[in-house]
Amino acid sequence: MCEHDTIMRHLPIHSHHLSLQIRQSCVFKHCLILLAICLHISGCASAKINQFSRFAELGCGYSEAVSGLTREAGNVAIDADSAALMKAREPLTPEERGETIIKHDKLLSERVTQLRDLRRHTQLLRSYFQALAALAKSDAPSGIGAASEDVVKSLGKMSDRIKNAKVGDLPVSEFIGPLVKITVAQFQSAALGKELRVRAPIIERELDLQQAALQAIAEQMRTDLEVLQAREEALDVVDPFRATKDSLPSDWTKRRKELLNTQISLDSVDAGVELARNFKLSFVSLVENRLDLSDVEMMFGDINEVLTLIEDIQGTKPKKKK
Amino acid sequence: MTPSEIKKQTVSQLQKTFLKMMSPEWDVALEGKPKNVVADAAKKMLAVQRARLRMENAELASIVGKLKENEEALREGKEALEDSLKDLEDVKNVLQMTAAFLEIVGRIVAIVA
Repeated sequence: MCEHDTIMRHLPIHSHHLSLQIRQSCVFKHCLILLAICLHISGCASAKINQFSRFAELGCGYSEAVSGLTREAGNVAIDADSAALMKAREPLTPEERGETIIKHDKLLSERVTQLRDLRRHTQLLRSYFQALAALAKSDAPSGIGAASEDVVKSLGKMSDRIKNAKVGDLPVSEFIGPLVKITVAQFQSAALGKELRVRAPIIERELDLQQAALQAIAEQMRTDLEVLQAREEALDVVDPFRATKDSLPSDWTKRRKELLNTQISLDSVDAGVELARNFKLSFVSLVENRLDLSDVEMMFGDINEVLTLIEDIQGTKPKKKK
Repeated sequence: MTPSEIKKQTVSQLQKTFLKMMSPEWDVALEGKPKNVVADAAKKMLAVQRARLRMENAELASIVGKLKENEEALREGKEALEDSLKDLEDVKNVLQMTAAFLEIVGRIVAIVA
């Protein structure tokens, strides 16, 4: 029940004057309630857009990490194969050497091409996430709200009715901006939601395949890195120690310590697989509207782990030795 | 065991064998062996590496091929998102132009009135 009836029953004042004031008060209250509802809806839309925005950033980071990882996977594969060729070269005849190097180059070219294709594909995935981020981060809602206010103000200059129009005690232009912003934010959120729902089966399949690719690459990389570490150990530590020479190289102790201390943790090779797995889970959570932003922050940790692995590989690449 | 499991296990076995044949332990084991044995071991190691590369390449090629099937859908998704963004920007631009136009009309009305 509106205050109007209650007050009329208890106060002996001029009813017509009071009735007008109270009616205005009721309109103002309804407007405030309406605005509160709109702001609540706006808050929900903003939270949802924030989720899309963080997920899109995560997608871009993921694509970068995968691109870097595939590049290093190719480099490590070539280095491991070179180490094998150098080890086996001596007992081979020149003819056998020629045949061998051609066969190995062909196989490694195929590998590099596949990894390049995967990288190119990942760049496409990245551009998809960039488009997602652009829509999620667009400042168009506030721009449209401001532009709508400008239109109302410009109209107000021409028409006194619009200029003086009020909702409750506030001029119309005070409401137009926020309401337009809310409506546009809803459109923005709906467009993002619709896109991910339409494309959900494809993205899910995509992320499953990415996981499979990273699993295969991780196993290949693990072998290649272990081979490289084994060759370094053989050439720098074991072979000089086994040699018939009386003395060891002057840096033998130092080199041994370096090798034993700077070996890449092979567990970190699985970081890419873990990243792909968690990224897919985040995507499913986003589509089902239960994405927790703290999980997203943790996944940036996974991305960092992959980037650290790439840096480690680059930092410990063996020098070419016979 | 499914064909894909057999392939996986074969790749895994080839990786382990290659690693073993590249290890310092293998070098020590070949120490003092006749030249033909050392040469044979080197050829076998390279053959294992080639078999490994071939099977790994096949595995990657199969996954990359399936990923390529998604490319059209990803491009469509990207375009749909860009269209939505363009719609938003268009609304903003139209409103900004309308406001500027109304400013001018307001000044003309003031002069004419």
